[in-house]
Amino acid sequence: MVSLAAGFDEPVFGTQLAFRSIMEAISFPGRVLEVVRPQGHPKGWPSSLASGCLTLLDSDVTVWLDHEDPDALNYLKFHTGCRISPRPEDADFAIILDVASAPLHQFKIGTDQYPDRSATLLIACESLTAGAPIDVSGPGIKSTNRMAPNIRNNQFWGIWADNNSLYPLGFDVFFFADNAVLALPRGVSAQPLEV
Amino acid sequence: MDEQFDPDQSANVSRAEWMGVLARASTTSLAELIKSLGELPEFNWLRQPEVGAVMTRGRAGGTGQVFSVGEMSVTRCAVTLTSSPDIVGHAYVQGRDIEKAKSAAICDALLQTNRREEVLRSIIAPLKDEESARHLKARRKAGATKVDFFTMVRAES
Repeated sequence: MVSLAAGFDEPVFGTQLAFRSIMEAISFPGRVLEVVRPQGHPKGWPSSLASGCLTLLDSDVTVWLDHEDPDALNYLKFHTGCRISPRPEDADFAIILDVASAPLHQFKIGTDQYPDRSATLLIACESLTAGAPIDVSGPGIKSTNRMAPNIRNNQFWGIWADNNSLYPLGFDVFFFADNAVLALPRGVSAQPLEV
Repeated sequence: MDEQFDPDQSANVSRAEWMGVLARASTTSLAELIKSLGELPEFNWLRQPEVGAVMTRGRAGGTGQVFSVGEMSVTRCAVTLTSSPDIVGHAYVQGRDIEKAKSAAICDALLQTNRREEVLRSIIAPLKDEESARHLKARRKAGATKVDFFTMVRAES
């Protein structure tokens, strides 16, 4: 039986609080911010990912999911009214639970005239602080910032270097774990630490 | 063409019907009838009642071009029953009465449980009767003012 979880108790205030966290996260790449929890969220999702979806998605956007979970689809359709696309190249937002098998090269990077027509990837992680540390620099960062999201994909930082070189084109990434968010905007470059 | 029997489809038709009856019901009648169910079941909000406007569409005489008649207030909400959280009761009702939306959503949820017959009998049927009476009255009133035009055969030519 398909079940439907509740969203924010107070949709207006909930999404405003979550938006504040998400905006601050992308303004200060590397900073881990707490996101208000909704009442319920699809099984297997961090609560912050659900908050992010409730805040960022609406009926104007197209979403691609890397998992076919009727609960998650119902949650998104009921609370946000977004369109679901089976093709990653159509997606404005991608919801990714397994970053190792995600088609990272297929997402929209925008066009020279409209660099904003690019995808935003919402990636679920186990932790935002327990992964391999990495130094990031770029707009919003005075010198360098260290972040350590637990990304289960060895190729990720290589792909990120390609994405960063496309600037001002490219996709943007948010990592979500439990009740926290960390952002990686396209303008930020990353240097893995020497071990 | 072969028409396949689809039990879900037939269930949907009657659900559309009862949701329509609840949507058009008068606030006072629904508030009165819902008391006959005794204590209402416990529920959780999936979506708290929100008031909005929808554009209604019409066709002149039921056959002409589609046009926008005007906006009407609609209140919507969704609930789940604590006893069976898989069942979702939805309500989209006319007007801005939050209690009415709540009652309608609970009725919709109960209509998907084994209390269906009871709710159909004690709430939906009386509301339906009331609606037909209302329509009949309006038709009678309009009928009483009907003017039959006829042309007499003209004499020349």
